[in-house]
Amino acid sequence: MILATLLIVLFGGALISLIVSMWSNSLPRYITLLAIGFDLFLLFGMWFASSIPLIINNKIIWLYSFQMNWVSAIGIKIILSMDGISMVMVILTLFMGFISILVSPRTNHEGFYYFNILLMIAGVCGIFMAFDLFLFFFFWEMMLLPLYLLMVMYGNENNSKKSFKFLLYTQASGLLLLISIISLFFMHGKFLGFYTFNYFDLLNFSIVNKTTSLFMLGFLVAFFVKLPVIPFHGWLGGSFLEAPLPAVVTGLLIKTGAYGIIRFAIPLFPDSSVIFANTAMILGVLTILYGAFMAFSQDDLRLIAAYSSISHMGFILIGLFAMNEICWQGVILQMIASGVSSSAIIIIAYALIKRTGTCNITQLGGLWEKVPVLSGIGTFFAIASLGLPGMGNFLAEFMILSGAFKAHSIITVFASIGLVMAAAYSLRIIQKVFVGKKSSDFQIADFNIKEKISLGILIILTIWIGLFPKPILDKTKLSIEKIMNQQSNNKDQPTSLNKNEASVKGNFNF
Amino acid sequence: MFQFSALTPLLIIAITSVVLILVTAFYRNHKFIAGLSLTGLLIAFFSIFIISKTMPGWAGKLILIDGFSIFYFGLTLVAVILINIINYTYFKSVEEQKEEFYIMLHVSTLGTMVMISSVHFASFFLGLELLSIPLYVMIAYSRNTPFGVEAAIKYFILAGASSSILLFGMALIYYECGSMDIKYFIYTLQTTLHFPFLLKFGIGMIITALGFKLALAPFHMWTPDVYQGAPAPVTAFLSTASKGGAFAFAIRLFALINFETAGSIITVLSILAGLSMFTGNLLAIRQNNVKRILACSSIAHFGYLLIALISGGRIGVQAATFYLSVYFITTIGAFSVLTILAKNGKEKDNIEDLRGLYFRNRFLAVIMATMFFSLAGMPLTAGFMSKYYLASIGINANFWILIWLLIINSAIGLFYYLRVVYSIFRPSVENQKEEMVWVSVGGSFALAVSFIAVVWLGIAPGGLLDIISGSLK
Repeated sequence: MILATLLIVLFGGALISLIVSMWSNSLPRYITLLAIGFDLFLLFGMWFASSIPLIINNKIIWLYSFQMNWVSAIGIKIILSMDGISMVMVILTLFMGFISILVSPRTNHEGFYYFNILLMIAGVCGIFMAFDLFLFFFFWEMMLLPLYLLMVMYGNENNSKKSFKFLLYTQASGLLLLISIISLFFMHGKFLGFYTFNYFDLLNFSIVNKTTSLFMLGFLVAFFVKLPVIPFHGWLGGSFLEAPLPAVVTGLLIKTGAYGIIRFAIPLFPDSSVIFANTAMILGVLTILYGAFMAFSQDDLRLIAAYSSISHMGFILIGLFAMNEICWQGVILQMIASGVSSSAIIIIAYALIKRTGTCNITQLGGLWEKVPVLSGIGTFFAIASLGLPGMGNFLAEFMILSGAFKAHSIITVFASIGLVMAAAYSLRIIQKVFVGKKSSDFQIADFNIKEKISLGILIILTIWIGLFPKPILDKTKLSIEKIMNQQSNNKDQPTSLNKNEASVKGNFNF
Repeated sequence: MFQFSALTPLLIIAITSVVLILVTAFYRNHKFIAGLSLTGLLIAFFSIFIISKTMPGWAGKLILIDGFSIFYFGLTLVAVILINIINYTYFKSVEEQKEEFYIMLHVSTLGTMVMISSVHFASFFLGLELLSIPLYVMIAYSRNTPFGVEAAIKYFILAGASSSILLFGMALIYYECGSMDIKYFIYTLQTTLHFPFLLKFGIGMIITALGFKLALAPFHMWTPDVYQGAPAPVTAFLSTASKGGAFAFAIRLFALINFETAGSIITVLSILAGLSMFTGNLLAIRQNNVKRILACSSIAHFGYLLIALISGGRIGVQAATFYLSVYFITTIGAFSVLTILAKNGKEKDNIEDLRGLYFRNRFLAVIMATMFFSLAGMPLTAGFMSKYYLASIGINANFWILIWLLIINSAIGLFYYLRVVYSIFRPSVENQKEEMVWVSVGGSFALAVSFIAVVWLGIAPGGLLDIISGSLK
């Protein structure tokens, strides 16, 4: 019930801010902060309460669970569950949402604005908690609509192409995801007699043949578009420029794609993902290198942050498909750390826009004299994103690389080149914006207390992850172990259904 | 056997139309006539619940009132009730003689209901003509505009031609099957392995006529022009009720066919479906007029619907009915918004006219956006549920090529739907006067019903699904 409460509070907050906006233009913001704050409060309670893991049936280590029938005619249920990974991601989403709303500027039509933001956050949290495949897809798509509306209404002039690109990429890949889900549903039903979208039932179903590989590709395409991986990254740059601040920080930076791979694509298709692992790791390396190249060549600070986050996600991709535990721990840490550091850079970019009207780094320079606090914090996060030891990013990337080295050493060597390139673009930011010669005389104000506190919290978080990641690692350890065990179980026992491989081919005749 | 009581909804509509004629002759008052017409429709709607206790009812060999008919009656009547309401809003400010409109609306509705419940080719033809002839006049209502006249003439000529083709096809089928009763036709379809040439020809002609009525490619050319030229409420009726009636009959004809014997029919229908999907979506990309966009999108939607029909079986029929219901309510919602925007009979149906609608009237903008999102198939709206249901039926029946076409076309469809939504939410350009749009009570009611239905069915379609499966045994 508590999981449903989390979502209901967010949805309710969205509706209330929309209604309240008819009378007051400042109230929706506080209502949103209140809703997210309440959820965070609940979640922190859950975090500390669940330090003793529950083991039910000797198999399941879910901390919380909620089930309800949704549309029984089609066999859809609402199944929400939370384990370590989900809890970490949900807390991260809500936390970043809270911080970014604190520092975001005011707009007009605030009710609709916060309505969409809350719907988007609810969608993202729902993705992390949904375990009925249809419900997962529902939340997946539900994330897109509010973000599109936000981009259209609050972006720059004539951004129809960019917002459309975003929606087209994610929606088209979502359709592929839908077809894969439905096909999985039917295949499972035809084999085992009962039709289910339930994740837990589908977990025990593994057949290796061309058909399931196709389904896995369907899942993967959707997740790769969201991640984003190199051929499918076209939507990201435009979205970072057009979407308003909180949307950027939560909807785009918290990579639901990575979660989808770790929770759905790999466990549901263990054998196919092993076969695909090499290709995926090569794609990951390409992503790292391409992202870093592009980040180095951009002038707009937000685009630099966008491409640098693409580069970090390349590390995540390598880590996911290296299939060992230390890698996956690194993946979780990387999701948090790179999310935090990229978001912080974006917050700083928007702060610069508010003060100087531009975040083009060629036009800024020598800001340290005028705004020491802003520059100091900016430098900190630029250095964090390049991977200085002592901060979260370094630890995460190190874990990923050391785990991936076990799996495939040559790819890992190429990936490490990405570390060097990360240094290049991060230092370029520092050099062009904060130090270096002054480009013009800006009379700008330094950070106010609100921004200092928000970014200060993010700094503490980054250092904490870098030096003391144990709480997070402990929380997620059990879930990762569970998925890994399942992987190896599937590898050891030949599935009895393999023998029927010939009859398994779906009838593709038409 | 002939059970008069089973025909109650039909009789009520017929009696109401006669009453309307008599009242119009003596007392011309738009409000009164509209109210009278609405009353008649409501009585007919509630009578459905009463006669559903005494199903199935036969009226000779021509008309069968079973669960299927009753559900479609209900759907059609809900659609026409909403159309009646927005019709009043639209014609309130028009100077023409508008009271006859309601008479024709009733007769067309009667025709639709006859088509839905007919199990004999003769009654189908009767219903078709009952539907079409008043429709010609309704489309021609805006006869002072060149678009209106063009639309009316186009529809008149094409409908007349397709009726004659239908007649010829029915004659050929009579020759081959021995009776005009549908059940002999279905029996022949299910049992003969090689169709004789004349039978194939006859079936082809019937499919042609149905294709015209349902606006499937390649019989779709009239659709954008007629939709644009007719007044908005008439377009709503044309796009929902008349297509619904034809589709119901198509379900009766083709739902029970199977692959072995009627493979050629399935092939033909699949080709029609694929063509319609592509034609509809590709045509709509270049349109700038919202009504034409809706027209082309309806071509595409019926292409999708055919997938459910082809997959056949009871589940296919249920999926098709659900999709059709959602399509009805979405279309009526969209046309209601267009009606409200129209002033003095002058329609504001260009995309540019919709620009900045959010700042002129927030509710209208959100409702229009929701309707378009539903047509595009976004979650939280009913369109998503219906498209999902359709896709799962298709996958279950292994029609993979059609499913891929569905996906590709849904992605193409996004483009033009989003163009309209984008225009709604952008602020208007400097020189455009920003005037607030006020909505009347009736309009608000119709809008509210459609909006709530679309969102409700998007989140909890269980109720409607249960009703459908309950009635379509």
